[in-house]
Amino acid sequence: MPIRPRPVTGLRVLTAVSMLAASVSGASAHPSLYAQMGGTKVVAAFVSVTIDQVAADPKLNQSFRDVNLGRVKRELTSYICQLAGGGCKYTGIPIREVHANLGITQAQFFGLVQILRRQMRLHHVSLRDRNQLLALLAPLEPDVVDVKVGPPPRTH
Amino acid sequence: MRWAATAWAAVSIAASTMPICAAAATLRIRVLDLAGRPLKDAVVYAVPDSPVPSTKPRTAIIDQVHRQFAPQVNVVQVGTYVDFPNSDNILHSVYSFSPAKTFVLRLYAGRTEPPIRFDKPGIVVMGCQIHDSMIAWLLVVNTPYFGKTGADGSVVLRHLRVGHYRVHAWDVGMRKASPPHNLPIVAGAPPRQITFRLKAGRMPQHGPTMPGMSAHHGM
Ligand code: HEM
Ligand SMILES: [Cu+2]
Repeated sequence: MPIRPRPVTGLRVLTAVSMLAASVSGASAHPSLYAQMGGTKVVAAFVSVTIDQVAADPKLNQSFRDVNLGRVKRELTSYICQLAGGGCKYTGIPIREVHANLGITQAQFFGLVQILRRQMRLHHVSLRDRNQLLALLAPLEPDVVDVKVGPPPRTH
Repeated sequence: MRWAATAWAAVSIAASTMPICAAAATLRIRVLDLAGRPLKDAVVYAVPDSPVPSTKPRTAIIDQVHRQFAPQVNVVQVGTYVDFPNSDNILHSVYSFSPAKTFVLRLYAGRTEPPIRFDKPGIVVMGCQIHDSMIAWLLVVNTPYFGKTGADGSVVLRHLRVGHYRVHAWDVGMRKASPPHNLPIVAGAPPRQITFRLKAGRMPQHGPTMPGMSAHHGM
């Protein structure tokens, strides 16, 4: 079951909207999943290794030809920050639009998830937090795998 | 700039001072590198001193094919619209930070975007936020008399009206076009040829650098 970031209510608003307050002080009674994983320092690190490994794996990397990996790492980190209640506002391209017509297979999706899972573990993310993040990512599969969009109607 | 910045390096060889024949003249321009080898896809343009009669704005096309721009080197008159049709049908995110035109254009699969109007003269360097491999150049020039050299390094400009022209040449990697070759065109002289010698820039391997978007920016 996907686990949503805790709703922000009442007096907790002030601390919850500040990702720094939650992740640095750790004083909040309910730090976000993002803060629990270690915040941007840790997430950016496991995202970076994950993307490098996917992009280097011939079974997974066909969609990554010529791709600016720095941007993918940055945007994916920001996306995870937003998803895991870290207080970021994702300003990248919508997930479905990004992966449209890239021909990503289900096997490749799980290949990436596999690497991500391992890298989270190597970056000392707890089992519970790993499972929480994967539960948040799992529903995105239909927006990543085999997204086909027809050619645009010719206007000129 | 990630590539070696190469300024123009001299020398437009002065043509004869013979007057040019007919009210609409033809001008052949050759562009060579310093070793005398022809430069393909160099841009040349002739700016008349008297204002150019305005025409209906045109639309040029810069396509996206196999994660490259096609063509990579482009030249249009000020006021021209450029269409980015995206034949790849995967996402491209075309951007420019050049002063002549700053924009980001998301080319989503399955959609068309309206063309962009280039309304200021200058050199526009374009990249793609997604693909490091993509780079293109667009010279926006203040004249309808322009062209791109072929494999032999030459190009012919036609229908030049009588008047005084400043002729420039530009090749990839140059920050700005060459200094002008001044050329009077008067009634009644044969077509003629001028030659530019440019210090050719190396083709860069990556798109233009922009703050926070460097291809090699690690996390
Ligand atoms: C839940 C899983 C995934 C998420 C949340 C995700 C998220 C993202 C994000 C945020 C970006 C950058 C967007 C931008 O540039 O603005 C991106 C780009 C990209 N992703 Fe994914 N992704 C996922 C799975 C995958 C998988 C399984 C593959 C292939 C094996 C893949 C291949 C790519 C490629 C090639 C790009 C760059 C190309 C482009 O932006 O058009 N992604 N992804
Ligand atoms: Cu692209």
